Amino acid sequence: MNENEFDRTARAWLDEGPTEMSDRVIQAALDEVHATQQRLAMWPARRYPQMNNMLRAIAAAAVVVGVGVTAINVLPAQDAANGSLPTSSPTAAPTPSAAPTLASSPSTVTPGSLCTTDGCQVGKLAPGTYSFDAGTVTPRRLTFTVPAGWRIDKDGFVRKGQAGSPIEMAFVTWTVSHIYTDICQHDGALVSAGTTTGELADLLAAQKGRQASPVTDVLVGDFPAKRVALTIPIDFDVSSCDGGIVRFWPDPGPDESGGLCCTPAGSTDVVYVVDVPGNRFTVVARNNWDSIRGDVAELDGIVRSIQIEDAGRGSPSPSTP
Amino acid sequence: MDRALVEAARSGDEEAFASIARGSADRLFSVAHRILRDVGRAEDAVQQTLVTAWRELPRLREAERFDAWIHRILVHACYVEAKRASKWTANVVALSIAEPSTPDATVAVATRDALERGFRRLPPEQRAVFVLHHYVGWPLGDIAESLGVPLGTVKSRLHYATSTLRAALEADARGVTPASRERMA
Repeated sequence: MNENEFDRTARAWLDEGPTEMSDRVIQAALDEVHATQQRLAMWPARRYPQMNNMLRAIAAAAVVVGVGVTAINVLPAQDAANGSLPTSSPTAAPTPSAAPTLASSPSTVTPGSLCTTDGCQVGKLAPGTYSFDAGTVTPRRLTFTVPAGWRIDKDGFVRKGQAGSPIEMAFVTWTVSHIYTDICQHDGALVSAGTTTGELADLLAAQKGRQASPVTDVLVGDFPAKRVALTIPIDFDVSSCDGGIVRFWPDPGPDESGGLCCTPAGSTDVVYVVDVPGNRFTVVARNNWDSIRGDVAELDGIVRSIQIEDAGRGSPSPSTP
Repeated sequence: MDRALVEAARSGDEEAFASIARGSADRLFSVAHRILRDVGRAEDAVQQTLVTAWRELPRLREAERFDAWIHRILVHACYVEAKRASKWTANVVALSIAEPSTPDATVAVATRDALERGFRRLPPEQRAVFVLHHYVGWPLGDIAESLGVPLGTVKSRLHYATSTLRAALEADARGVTPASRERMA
């Protein structure tokens, strides 16, 4: 039997058998549905309302102190200490922090502020420098520069590559208060993420279900940070996980709503836990097992272009227009 | 699937979800039955799938991906049912084809039996890929995306499933004694 004959035979065999579900079973399922509460949404449409009060306070404090913007680069700490690499990027020009108007069409977003507390603009990003304002998806105002070919979604994910495909890349920021000790069997696995960058980085490195690189010290511009690369093994069966998805952390607070989740096997999150006084937060640079090398370099460039306002220093970086 | 219905259900509209469930149930049941080869277990898997889908629906980000998403839940439910089945019946059931079927003249009885035996030897992960590809008709990339596994894993599972079933057919063609059939079941 050749391959075509086998395929035909197999399909004919599979076509046999019942194709109608009994109404009794459907009704039983709907009865159970009626008695079942829906979970809260996973994605950060919920992140904004939950963070509003805290981040509004942070933003307000930042304005009172006098906001400066300090150029940052993600560099190994020792290199920066040796002065062998620049500490700022003169090409990354922060933009005014006026609240943006959400894009009326999902076509092209031009450089400027990307998000409000109601969500982010959606569309292709024209090459240039963009910002996340304090109180939106980051506790401090943050700018970054993207080349052509990237886009942003309403949740603040800056992406390249077909959504859900094995080449997709993403860049996103997050505030993490709790994490799951097991990304797959995550029901009941939520623990506090501690308060220091080291505690969070160590917890991430120990998360069951992902392979972790050693935790290293880096500088995100002038700010100390911990870096850890976390990979879901390519043969990992995500469908066997609770709810059929992996979860890494929920949005701030222990109620398990929102959060970062749902990546396929073979994806790698490079997580930078940044220590900005009073505002620990994470920057996640994600690539997939089939991501294109040039795109990975672009993602690295985006992370290196990040600048974070420094409320304590009071003066803007030289790159401020 | 009607995107508006999915979005309404995602917002907690039970009537919208009931419409989705009634519109999807036969298809989900057909797939589950092909994977599990048992009407009762397929019904249980679909029932569990619908309840899980309702509970998790607010977490579905893109309504247009509902079909792939609910099939992932269904396959997971089939894994659970298959494990439960193997726990209780591994050494008891042999060639149980009790449910009604429509005889197909194009598939000879001996061939059908050989495929049935071969298929029952497959782990559920390979069964699912084989059914999604040959019965649902999805390309391998879509299966990988739906199940959340790498494309290479899908190819590997399909390869092993196909090899096993071809071997079963070839053994049947050579002539297999009833005694050996019982051991294979």
